[in-house]
Amino acid sequence: MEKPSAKYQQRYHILTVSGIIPGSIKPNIELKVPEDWRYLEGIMFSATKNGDPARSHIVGLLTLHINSKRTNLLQDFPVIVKAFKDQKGKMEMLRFKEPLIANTLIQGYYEDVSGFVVGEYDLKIYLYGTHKNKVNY
Amino acid sequence: MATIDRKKKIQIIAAIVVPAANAEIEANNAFTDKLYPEVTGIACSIMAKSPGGTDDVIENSVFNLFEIDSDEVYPRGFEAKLIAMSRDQDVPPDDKFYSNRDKFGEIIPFNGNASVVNIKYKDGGMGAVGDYPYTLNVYLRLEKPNEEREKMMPRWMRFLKSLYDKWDRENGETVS
Repeated sequence: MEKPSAKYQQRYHILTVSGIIPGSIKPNIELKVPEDWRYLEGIMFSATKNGDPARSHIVGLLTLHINSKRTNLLQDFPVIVKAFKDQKGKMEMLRFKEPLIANTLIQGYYEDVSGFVVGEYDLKIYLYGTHKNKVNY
Repeated sequence: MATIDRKKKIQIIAAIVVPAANAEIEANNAFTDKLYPEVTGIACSIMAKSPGGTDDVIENSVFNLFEIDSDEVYPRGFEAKLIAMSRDQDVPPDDKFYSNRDKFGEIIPFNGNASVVNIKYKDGGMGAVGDYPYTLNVYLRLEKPNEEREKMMPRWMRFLKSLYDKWDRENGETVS
């Protein structure tokens, strides 16, 4: 018996904002939506800091527009990233069910407000979404 | 003799020994237990020789490949700390697994064979010298579909359930 193939699949996309200097604004965050991507279902955040584990909390404000600025998904949303050592419980996802238009842009900017963090860091935005299965349909 | 029909199994699908900082290790062709066709959760944990210094090694460590039956579960560069088991004692063990019933429900094989899991893990180089080598354990929570309960259902309920399952499979709605 063949393995049943799903019409839709959930997958992650990683949007990396690199080289964030504490106290600065990082404009022009951009990702083109692939044709098979139908819904944006959730967002997770993570930060990596080269050279030293990020012990202190990283705090920033993220603004995201989807469908080439037709929808304002997040406006100055507080992004708080802790080191793994300080995490309690499970990392949860911010859930949505936003339809996406193919070949449009996910755009935004990020403002760091954690003045006490020393050194640059990279922010990874995990976009979790429903995709149409290209192989079987 | 009556046998205990276990519905759930936790399987260590890979125990990856990381010898040094920034090493990239593969664990290919690991098979799941074929008696449990549903993958309902994934988690990982780190076991190191030095107590207390184990949390730093997972910072910046990523999965460059994580697929079950050639279906991508996590993309290249997915950070391992996002699915790492919490050390918080207040969290029940079952809640430490990261699951999305819909997502992992889609990649189950119904043909009675085991699923093949391929993993490629890259260390982030954040651990101290004494932290290496350490072992990354990747756990899968496997479950059996509850066939007995379905057999006890009335016929009309089974019919409705089959319609719902078909609709769910085609539309990809999340069942929480």
